[in-house]
Amino acid sequence: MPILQTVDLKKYYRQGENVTKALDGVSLEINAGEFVSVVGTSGSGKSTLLHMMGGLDSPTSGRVIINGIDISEKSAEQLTVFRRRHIGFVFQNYNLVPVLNAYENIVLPVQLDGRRVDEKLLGEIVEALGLEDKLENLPGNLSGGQQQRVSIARALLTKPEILLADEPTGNLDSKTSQDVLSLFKATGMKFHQTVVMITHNEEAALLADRIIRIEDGKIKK
Amino acid sequence: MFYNDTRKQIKKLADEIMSGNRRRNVFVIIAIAMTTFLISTILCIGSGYLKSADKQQKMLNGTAADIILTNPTEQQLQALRQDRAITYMGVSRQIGFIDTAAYPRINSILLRWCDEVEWERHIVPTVGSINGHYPSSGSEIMLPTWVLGRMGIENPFLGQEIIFSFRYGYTDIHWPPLSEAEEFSFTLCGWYDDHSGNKMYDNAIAYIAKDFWENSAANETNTKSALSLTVSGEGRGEIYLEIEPLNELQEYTDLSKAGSGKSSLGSAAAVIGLIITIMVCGYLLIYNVLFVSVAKDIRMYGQLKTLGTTERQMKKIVSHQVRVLSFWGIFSGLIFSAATVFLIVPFGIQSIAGNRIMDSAISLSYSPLAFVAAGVFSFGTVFVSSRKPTQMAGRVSPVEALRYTGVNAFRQKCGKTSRGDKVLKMAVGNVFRNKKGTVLVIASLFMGISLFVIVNGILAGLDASYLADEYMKDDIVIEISRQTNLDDSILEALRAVPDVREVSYTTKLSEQWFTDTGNVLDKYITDFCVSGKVPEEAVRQYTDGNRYQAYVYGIGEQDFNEAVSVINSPLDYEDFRNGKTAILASATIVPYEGTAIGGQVQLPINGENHTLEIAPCYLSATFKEDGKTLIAPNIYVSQEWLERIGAAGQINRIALQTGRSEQAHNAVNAIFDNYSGVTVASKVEKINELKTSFIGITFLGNAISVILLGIGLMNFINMMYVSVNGRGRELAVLESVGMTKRQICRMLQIEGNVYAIIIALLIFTLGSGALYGFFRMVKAQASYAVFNYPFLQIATSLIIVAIICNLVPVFVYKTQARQGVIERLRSNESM
Repeated sequence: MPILQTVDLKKYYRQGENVTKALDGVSLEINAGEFVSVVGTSGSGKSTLLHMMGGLDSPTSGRVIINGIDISEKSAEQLTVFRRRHIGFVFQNYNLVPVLNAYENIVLPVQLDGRRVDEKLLGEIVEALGLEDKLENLPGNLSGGQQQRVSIARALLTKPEILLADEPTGNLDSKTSQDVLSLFKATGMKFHQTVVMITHNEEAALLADRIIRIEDGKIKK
Repeated sequence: MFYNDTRKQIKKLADEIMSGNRRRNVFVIIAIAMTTFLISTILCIGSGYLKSADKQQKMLNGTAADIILTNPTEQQLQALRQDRAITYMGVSRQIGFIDTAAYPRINSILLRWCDEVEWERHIVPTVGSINGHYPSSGSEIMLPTWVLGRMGIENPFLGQEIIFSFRYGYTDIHWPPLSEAEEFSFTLCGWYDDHSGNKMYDNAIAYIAKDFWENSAANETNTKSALSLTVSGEGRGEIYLEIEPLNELQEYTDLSKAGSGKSSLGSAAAVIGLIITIMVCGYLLIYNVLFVSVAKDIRMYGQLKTLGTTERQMKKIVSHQVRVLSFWGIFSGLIFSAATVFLIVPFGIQSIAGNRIMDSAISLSYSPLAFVAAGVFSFGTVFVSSRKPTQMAGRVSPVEALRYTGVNAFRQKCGKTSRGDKVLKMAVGNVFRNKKGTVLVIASLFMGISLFVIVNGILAGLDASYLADEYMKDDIVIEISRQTNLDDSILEALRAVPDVREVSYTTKLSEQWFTDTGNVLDKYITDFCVSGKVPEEAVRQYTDGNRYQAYVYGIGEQDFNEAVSVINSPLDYEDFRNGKTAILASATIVPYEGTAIGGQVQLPINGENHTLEIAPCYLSATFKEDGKTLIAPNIYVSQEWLERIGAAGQINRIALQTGRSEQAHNAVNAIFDNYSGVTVASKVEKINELKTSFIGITFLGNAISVILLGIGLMNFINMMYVSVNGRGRELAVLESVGMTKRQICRMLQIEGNVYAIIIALLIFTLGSGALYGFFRMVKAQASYAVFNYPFLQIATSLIIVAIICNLVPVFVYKTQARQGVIERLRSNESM
């Protein structure tokens, strides 16, 4: 049974009489534990697809079903709670909260959910990501790679079934990119997660179990 | 090296940046407009308030003159005529007294003549509307409107015949009576609205023509004259030196020292202080808005730097925007201010007070210089406020710009926090994350609210009721002339009046001789005669060796207890009641109250000599009376004792404690409606009279206070708006990682409440201290001011602040959140 399914997903932007079709009827299925890369040219609609999958954006029509639950039927409040419990996000520009240190950024979603931090899991993630001595640093004092690792740690700590990564290596050098991708692969396997990663990088995409290509808002068969 | 002229390109770029930042522009313009509006409105209304206060003081003085010299000599007149600092020199002369026993609530009417300069320059500006003209000949007389009213003449007309009994001379103790009282038919040639302090004591001045007295018993040597001078500021101190030495009949009064705004450095200091505070407030507000704005654009400035824009060009880009925004901000601020000053305030005053107040009590002439000054001050404030943000934009490095988060770079590490309420901690952390910014916001908000609180506290302390308290200690005072004899039934009738809590009365034995057996009054009598410049004739009339004539008053137990608490010495009421003790009260010109005295006096009453022990120190003559004494001090003895020895005396004064009851005031007036020789004065009436006189000035004060509150709150809203709006992306990040909208709203509300709590604490501590400091300054100018802690205003402003703190951030966030999370995350420009 697919853990993530999109059904005829459409996202249209209207500007006057012009209609931009960011997504134009995307239907796909992703199985639990799969590592999927989504590739496509700039403006092809990959990020929009990822945001729809994660409930960060609402479609013009169509449905997103996660674990058999149609998330488009949820209210904004329910969707946020659902997101923080079931989906981990890794953004290209990290989206760390600048006033919180690395540790606080990592544990933030768990604490916002009113749960106790699983210190053992945290220790494992931090160790796996090599962040042990960076936990007290503010994001502004971390390098791009370190910030991206903090954002990955943040995404993993909530033990999400699905990890959505939007060009996670886009701002990183090749060495760090390689490290981050390996981490995705390893942590995905270790924590039994489904990983959907958007990338421009063909090499990075090849690390995935499956590659989905998008062009002009449609999946290219 | 040759430079290219890139001004056009820079201007174009700056204009384009501006046109892309419309919302930010609106906030900067509002901030500048608010500052300009506040400065110019305070300058105009504040100077109007000071002018009005000055005018009010002159109206209370009854003259616009600065200096009054009584009985000037020819040499002094010669000297003063040479003085270029003197703008106007008016002469007046006290001719005689009208007998007012027949009229209720008219204590005295003094007949006075004044020359044209005195009338036109010193009197006319201080009275309200005038009907008719100054008496020009013979029997013409001009009276205050209130006197006509109390005489029962509700609809006076010019040429109306009014018969008064009057006599020449005896205008005070120094001047002999010049004729017996005789009836005379005057012709009413005018009446005027009297707002002077005299009216508070039911004393009036009637103006007469020169030829009324020129051919009478009164002349230039046997009547009191006064020279009134208007002097330009610098010359005032030297006038006294020119006319020294004064002879024994002369008094020199500098009215400018009696609280007139002209010389009150304190008032000017208060306005300057207010303007500086507003400028600092405006600085904080504009700085904050500009700083947040530049910080939001910092990536763009970094990119421009990368593209080769120099520091100088970058600064020009920012300063061009600041100049354009300043122009619109200052322009709109001045327009709103002019609308307020020229339309709203006069309309408000007119609708409350009607035309009469506009004519007399209030000054509403504004100098265009005030607007120019406000524009200059505002531009100065904007210029100073924009320096740091301009430098920040100019000096930013492209790399720093990309990493800029607004978080203090020095705070590299901070401890783990994993326990407790995360939302609460984040909220508190957010308030203090940028300490300088927080200090700016809090300082700005605190100053805005403090201004409101201080102005309100001061205005409340200057309430007319406190001025009335200065004039009257009791709520209702009924004074009974010698010709009117009241019996005890009237006291019963008064006790039955609703709201009357206490009735006390004094009886009076006029011109009672007594003997100072121990000669303990010698020094007092000498001092009185010297200070009062008492003529020989009067000394002969009221003293005879160690025998003196005095007013003897009988008081009851309540008044005795009050006297004991005033002199602060234990006295036995039984001794007093049995005629063993008497209390002396010193005259105002010999301020002996509180001075120790001992010994005995002997009162010969009904053929028997009664020896009374004198209480250990003096009371003031105003204790239960109007302050008048003969040469010897007034003597207070037991009413009951006087009755027992068959010298009860007449009831001459009844004091009622009624609170501010209008009902009691009306009922008491009704009781005495048909009595002649009875004056009823009530504090309620005085307050109403004063409030009528103060209505314009009160409106101006309230206008300032409302404007300050409005500006303070707008400042608050602006700050909160800018603060939340500037963090739009950060809030979207929080949402993206799972913070619900409700949690974000709660966090923002907590942040707002932290601000509100800090401001409340500051208001109660620093604000209260500042209020008290300002109050001391005002008290030095207006002695009747009472410190009044404006709890209600503070509570109101803090409640509004709390509401704003809770609502505005949430409103701003919800407005932002109409956009999706992704759009907000992508947006670099959130302002």
